[in-house]
Amino acid sequence: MSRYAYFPGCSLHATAREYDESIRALAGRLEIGLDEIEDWCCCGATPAHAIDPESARLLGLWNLAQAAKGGKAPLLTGCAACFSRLRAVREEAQAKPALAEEAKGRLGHPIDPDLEVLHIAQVLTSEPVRARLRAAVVRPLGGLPVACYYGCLLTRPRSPGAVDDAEDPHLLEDLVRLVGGEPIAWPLRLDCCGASMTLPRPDIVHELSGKILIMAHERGARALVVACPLCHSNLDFQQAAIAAKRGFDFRLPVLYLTQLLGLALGLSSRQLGLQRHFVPVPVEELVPAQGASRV
Amino acid sequence: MTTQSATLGARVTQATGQNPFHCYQCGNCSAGCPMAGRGDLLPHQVFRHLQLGLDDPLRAVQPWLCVGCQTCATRCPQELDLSLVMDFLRAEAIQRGTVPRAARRMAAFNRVFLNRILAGGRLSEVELGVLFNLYTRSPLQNAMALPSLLRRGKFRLGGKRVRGPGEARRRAGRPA
Repeated sequence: MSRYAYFPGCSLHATAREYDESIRALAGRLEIGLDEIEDWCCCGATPAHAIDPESARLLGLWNLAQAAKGGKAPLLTGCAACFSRLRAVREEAQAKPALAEEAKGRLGHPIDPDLEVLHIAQVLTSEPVRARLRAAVVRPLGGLPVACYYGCLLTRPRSPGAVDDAEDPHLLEDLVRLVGGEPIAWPLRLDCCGASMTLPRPDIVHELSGKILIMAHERGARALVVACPLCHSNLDFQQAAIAAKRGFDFRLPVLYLTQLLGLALGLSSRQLGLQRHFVPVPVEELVPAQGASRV
Repeated sequence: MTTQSATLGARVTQATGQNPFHCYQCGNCSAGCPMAGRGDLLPHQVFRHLQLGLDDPLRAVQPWLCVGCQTCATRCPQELDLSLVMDFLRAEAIQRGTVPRAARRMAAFNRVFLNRILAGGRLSEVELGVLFNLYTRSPLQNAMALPSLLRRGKFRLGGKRVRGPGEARRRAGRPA
């Protein structure tokens, strides 16, 4: 079993609890060892670097230092924003060796500039986990049309540590296909959902996330798949408000990647935290039990 | 208009490593920006103004609309990281007191968020929402969401506090 220094991040302990639950459930099935970093702090998300780059760097160094307490185990996170921030600071530390020294002086712990920073999607696509995942499928998705939504920070910026091509990624589609789903072709999979504008400018989030939901629906998706808690919040939690504002009456379930894969592995709705969603996830309709036909 | 202008572009380069003069105004950044057209300057116009020695990007709302999606940085043929420049412009606008009125809600959001992290290390989105409402004097915004978040177990009191990073920041002299 490979072991990872697990960095859940703030959302996965709060509004995105089901993402954490489904990551842990999936990890248990696929022999992915998760050791939660004890004293992790917020990655700083957008607001820290937005107004105080120095604080953002410090938060990143703190977390890299905490992760390094676990030795060489790669840092693993499910949040696209945490992933992006931690990767940015790690890359800065690689480029400026003085930063590692500075971290030791200021934070009392050394960092390892070569520590791998991984997103859960990367671990799931890498061997031998991928082979285990394929072998563990007990409830294939039966061609379920799924819109894979990358959002911004999973694939950007373009750099050696990136999960995939920044403009034409296929990692989520590969995983969906692996468990029997059918990723749809659609044009907005890399467009921004409105991100952290939820509180200061909800009008912008409603417009941008509305476009994404409508496009995915019109292209025939029965579910959206995401790998970021903020995307999920904007597309799921805000969906009723968006529907009221944009005047549509469909509801598009928004699943974390790990929840969709978990369904194919036969994990229950509860194990995957699907009951925590705002838009209901009609599992029996989406993924017919073996032998039954799709509704 | 031009008193500090020659220095703004130079300071951008010094602080971010991004030289505004490398921009040749292709407009790729503005074409892909999800916030383009909602503010005053488009992203490529911010760079033109920096080239021209103007300091009005410090009073522009565009940097405050930037959510750091990095679409611009990914597509810039000159490999300029515009997000870093927007970060710098925001921090500089705060220091010089030039944050425009139209950006106040975004500025408040960023401030409340960062203060919260530097105090307790971890963030609860619900607490953030409550604090943001108090800060912006709109106490009832999203109030209806609270019971539904509680019901779904998406808000729990008494999370762990991690004070190390905030203490380190204060030792280093946190800017106002």
